[in-house]
Amino acid sequence: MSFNPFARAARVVATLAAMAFLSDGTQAATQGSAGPTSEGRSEITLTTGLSARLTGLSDFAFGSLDSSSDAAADQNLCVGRSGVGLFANGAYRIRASGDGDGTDVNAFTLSNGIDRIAYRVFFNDAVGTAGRTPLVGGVTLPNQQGLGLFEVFNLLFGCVATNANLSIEIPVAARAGASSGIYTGTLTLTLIPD
Amino acid sequence: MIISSRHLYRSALAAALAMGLGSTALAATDGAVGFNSTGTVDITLAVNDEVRISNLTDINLGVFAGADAVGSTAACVYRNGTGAYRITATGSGAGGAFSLTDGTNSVNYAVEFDDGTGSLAMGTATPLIGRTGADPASATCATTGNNATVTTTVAAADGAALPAGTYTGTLTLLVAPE
Repeated sequence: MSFNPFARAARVVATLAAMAFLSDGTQAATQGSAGPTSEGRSEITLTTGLSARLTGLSDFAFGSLDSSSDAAADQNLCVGRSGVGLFANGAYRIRASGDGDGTDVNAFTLSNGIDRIAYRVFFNDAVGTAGRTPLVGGVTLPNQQGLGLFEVFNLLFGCVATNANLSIEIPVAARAGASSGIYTGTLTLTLIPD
Repeated sequence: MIISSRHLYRSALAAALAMGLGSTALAATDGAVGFNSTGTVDITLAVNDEVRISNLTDINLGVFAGADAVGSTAACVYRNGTGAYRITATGSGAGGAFSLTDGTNSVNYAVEFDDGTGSLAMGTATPLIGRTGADPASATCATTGNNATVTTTVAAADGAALPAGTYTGTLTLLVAPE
């Protein structure tokens, strides 16, 4: 089956336009009059909010590292959202939280059950790491932008066009003194369309 | 950002394959469609046992004056976590012997190691096991400061028999985690 993204996008736009036209009515309900028959009308309205979809995520497995250098890895991912023109920029926010530590429940940490290792998280609203922004656990990063075309496609079809990047770093200093073992953690990302 | 339609095809194909063939080996979860969308990524990192010996200085035993010639160097031993370590010393003489030489003649010396619990004599290439007191957090011993001492001694009797000259050697110390 051939896949023409632009034809698909055109159909999506047409559908949205039709929905907007049909839901534009400002009629109120009308009550029937007394008579042999009586007809009343009730306007039905459905309001949909913005939708978001974050896909393309994969795990980070660092294996065993050289203790003399920082560890770093990144992955491109897909941000999808509704309510944006195909050739406009759609804004969104991103929030990340880690497994926490003794003072911050959202801190970015890995643990082997004994010790914790802190790591850094960065987000970029484009593929690659150039221009990325450091994240703070539990703090929302505003003003991220993506081209509507890709955002709509990613919303509808999953990770079709990567348009963001997640990167993490584990500094040598953070690993100093940590007891041996396998350190694991979960990073949770929440996408919030504006 | 420019993404060609060919890239879109490939991405769509990859996504389809991932959905169809992925056997859920990965734990990462994509977000569902909603007002917000939340996904998760698992991160794993293996940390090995690590040790480091540093802050060693050269030992100058000075001019032999008829008594035992004794010199020492402090050492910083780092060991991640809370485990013990072992240390092995090897000299630059034949077979790893603890000896100094002027190129012609040689003299043996003794080596002792103290981890803070008392000095112990070392044999060449024979590990001293169960050493403790290493800095558990800092590879430069910023937490504990230097935490070990290596002492070398040329016995008076051995020194007295030597022709005049400058005698040198290298003592190699190998630390390993336990």
